[in-house]
Amino acid sequence: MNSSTFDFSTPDLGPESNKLKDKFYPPSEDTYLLLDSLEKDSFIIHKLNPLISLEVGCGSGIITTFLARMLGPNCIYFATDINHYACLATKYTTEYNKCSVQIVNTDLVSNTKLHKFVDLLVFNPPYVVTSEVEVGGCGIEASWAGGADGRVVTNRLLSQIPNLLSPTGVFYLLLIKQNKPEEVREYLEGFDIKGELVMERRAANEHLFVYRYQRNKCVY
Amino acid sequence: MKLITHNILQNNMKDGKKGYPLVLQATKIDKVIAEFNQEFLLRMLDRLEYHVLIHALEMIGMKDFLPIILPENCSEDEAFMKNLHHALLEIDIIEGELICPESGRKFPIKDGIPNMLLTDEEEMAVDSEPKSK
Repeated sequence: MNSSTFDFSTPDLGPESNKLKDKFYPPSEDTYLLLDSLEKDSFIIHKLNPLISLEVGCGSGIITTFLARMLGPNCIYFATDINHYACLATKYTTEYNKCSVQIVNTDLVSNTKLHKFVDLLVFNPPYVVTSEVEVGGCGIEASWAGGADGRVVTNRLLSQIPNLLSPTGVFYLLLIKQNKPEEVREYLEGFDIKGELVMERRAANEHLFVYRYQRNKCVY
Repeated sequence: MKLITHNILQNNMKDGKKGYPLVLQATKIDKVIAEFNQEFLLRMLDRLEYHVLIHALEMIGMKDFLPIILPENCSEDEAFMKNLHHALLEIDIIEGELICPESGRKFPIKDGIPNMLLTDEEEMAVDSEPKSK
């Protein structure tokens, strides 16, 4: 397969998802940087031949749809969101694009059994620096409110990354400058997981980064 | 919710206890068509709790649909592979409940989506992963 056969177009959400507008996080600059990063890394991802894909905080479902179109039926796509409407939007968006995605309404990966299971993990977290009281909701605010350093929710997932990633698993994470990406890299390095910057972009008042993390021993 | 998802859901309780596999009660089931992919199924078998899939089939009244013990050389057994494909990816639980076998806690399935969210109080009781920082 060469790259010209991959479908990298930006998926449409479709009419049903658009009816739920304002109830889930719409595709934004950060979403597009993540899509561009996955496209840029498509050869690396294809080479890993992932079987289990998981998007945490799937929002509109656009990223999971993009992955499903890029990787096809050799992989199963799980997607979680704490917001019920985001789960519904993901269902509608993936159905509209004729992709099969397994959606679970949960907090990050709570109540799942995914020990060393995930080959491709993607997280566009609530990264905005906010007060602590704004964190912890189940509505659209859960898509952006990140608490101190915009890292409160991200940190909860980071602590589980060593348990979630399969031996060859790869983890894509979007961060902004205020999230202190270097600190995240150092934290995961403590678990023998190395991080590399895939892309960065300045959009309005945000400096966005997408990192790829993998176990040091991973050979691909 | 496909049965492949039932395979990876559990109830994490305090004291590190796990409610797994979850009891499945389906009140509305749809059949969907998914693209058959032998390579995917063979790789998935390595990661799947096969007995949990069998259990899930039993709970929705599809006992005997797959053999209780995974057959040897199953990759050459076309009928088995087709049934495995159907069981994992084509049975869609639209409405129903997942019930923790330890605590009886019920998790609703609505619009085909299982709701595994805990209340704040339940979350406090769960021994959470060590928080970073």
